[in-house]
Amino acid sequence: MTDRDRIERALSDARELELTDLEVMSVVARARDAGPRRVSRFGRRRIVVGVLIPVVCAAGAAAYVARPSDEKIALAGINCVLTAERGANSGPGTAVPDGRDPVTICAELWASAMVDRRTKTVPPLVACVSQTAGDVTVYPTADKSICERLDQTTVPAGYEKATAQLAPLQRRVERLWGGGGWTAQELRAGETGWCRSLPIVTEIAEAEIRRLRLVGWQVRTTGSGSCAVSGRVDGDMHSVIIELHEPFEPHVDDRPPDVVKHENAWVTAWQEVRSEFPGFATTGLLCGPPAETIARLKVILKRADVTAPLELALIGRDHTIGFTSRLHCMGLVDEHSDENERIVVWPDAPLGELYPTDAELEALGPGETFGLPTFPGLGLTP
Amino acid sequence: MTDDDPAHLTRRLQSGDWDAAEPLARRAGNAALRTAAAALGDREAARDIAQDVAVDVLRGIASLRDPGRFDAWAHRIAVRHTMTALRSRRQRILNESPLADLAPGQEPSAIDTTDSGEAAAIRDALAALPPKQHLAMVLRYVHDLSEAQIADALGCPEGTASAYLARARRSLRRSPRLRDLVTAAFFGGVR
Repeated sequence: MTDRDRIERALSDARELELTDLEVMSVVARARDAGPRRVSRFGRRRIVVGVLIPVVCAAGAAAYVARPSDEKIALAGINCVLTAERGANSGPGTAVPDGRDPVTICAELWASAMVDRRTKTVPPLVACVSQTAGDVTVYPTADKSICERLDQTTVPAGYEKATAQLAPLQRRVERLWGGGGWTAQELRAGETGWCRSLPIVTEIAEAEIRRLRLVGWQVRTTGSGSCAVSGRVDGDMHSVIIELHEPFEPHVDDRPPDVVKHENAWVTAWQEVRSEFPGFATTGLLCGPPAETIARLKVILKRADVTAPLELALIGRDHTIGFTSRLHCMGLVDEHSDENERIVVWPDAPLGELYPTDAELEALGPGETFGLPTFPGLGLTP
Repeated sequence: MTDDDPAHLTRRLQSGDWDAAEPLARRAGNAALRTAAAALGDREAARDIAQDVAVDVLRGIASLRDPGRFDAWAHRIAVRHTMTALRSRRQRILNESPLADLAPGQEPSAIDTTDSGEAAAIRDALAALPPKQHLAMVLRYVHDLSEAQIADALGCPEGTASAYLARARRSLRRSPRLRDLVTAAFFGGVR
């Protein structure tokens, strides 16, 4: 036996350990209940711009409204799903309840092609409440028995009133960590952007409780550490729960100088692109760019001394989309990833408006990237 | 691209497909479980950490810029949790039972010549290392990570990770409890 074998054998028990199925299921349930720590950068934050509902995001709060009947209704979100079946995909993410009927909220999303980008037709909708998680899910069906068929219940009376009461508090708590999303500065700061001052967060939450005249409510903490990293509204406990965590280790940029220089050149170039082409900065769209625009883009990018091929990707609501020759709109350049040499471009409008033709839709697929061109040599044909 | 490709699963989850959560939780949780168990020597604590890591992974998946780096990112989160537990445990041990106060016969894991004694001696020697050196060794010998991958997980330059491994090997080589069990060739020559 070699000495390497000896040390590996000393740790061999650990090498073979696995979580049980139950533990994995528990993890998924915990994560779903708690919601994402931060809103996806992949479109949701920007997609909500111009949409009528107050907030559309993967809400971070798992808040419940305690009702007289002891039933619980999740304030975590309203899922406007694509199909009338259990586990259906929630197209636009999760809508935060705002005191209105969930069917009304989802109807607005359907009408703006946010649920199904292929159509703005609003189908018959039925809202159900999951008996286990308490989420409200709105299914596209005329079948009123769907809730029972899926072991769910109909939304009880009083839901709108309850959500109207607590939704402002929930939204205020979410905004403490960036609201519907992180700012670019926070994104660049990485994990450090999660850290908030507990005294300040507490003061703000308490002020909101007073403003909403919620009697008997208080701010509580969970976990330990000097950073307030998330918050949620708990209707059962009449509390705003602030989660504490130790500060994350500061991000140290230890990349080689030439890599940093390369990225900085790209950032500078894209800032120039955005300033030179107001379409990017104001509407977030540059539709049908003429050849001279493409040529000008190439000049700017070439000046950035870009030698490595880069991908240009459009990250959509639930799709990663590459520019194809048929694409005629470019979204706002929002972020340059230093990890994968990719320029991420956000659409600032519902995808249904970005891609109005079926021919273009055929080029897209869930989670797929198609025909990503490279820079330089942008081969777009307007 | 396959159905169990973590990058593909990550993209699915980022787009709201929670069917992708279970395999990702299992992948991240198992990796974290092995890291924490090897570092802490406490399976129950490791299971708690692994589940916390998996929850963090699922909740933070939107922040992962490059889905192709899922494993590296999950390792990093696991390291952070394990590091916290290691430091906490060390502080507790220092507070509660300083080694200097132990009677000679109470020293942990006295060497014996059986395999289990050897394994225990190696684990004890690893546990005596500074946390980052300890974790570098765990990542190397439990997960077979390269120095670049270890650096990624520890959030340090590759040269620093290399130095952690070198120092850890040197410390083990100097450990009187291991001197007779593990040859210098191992510490000088393994990967």
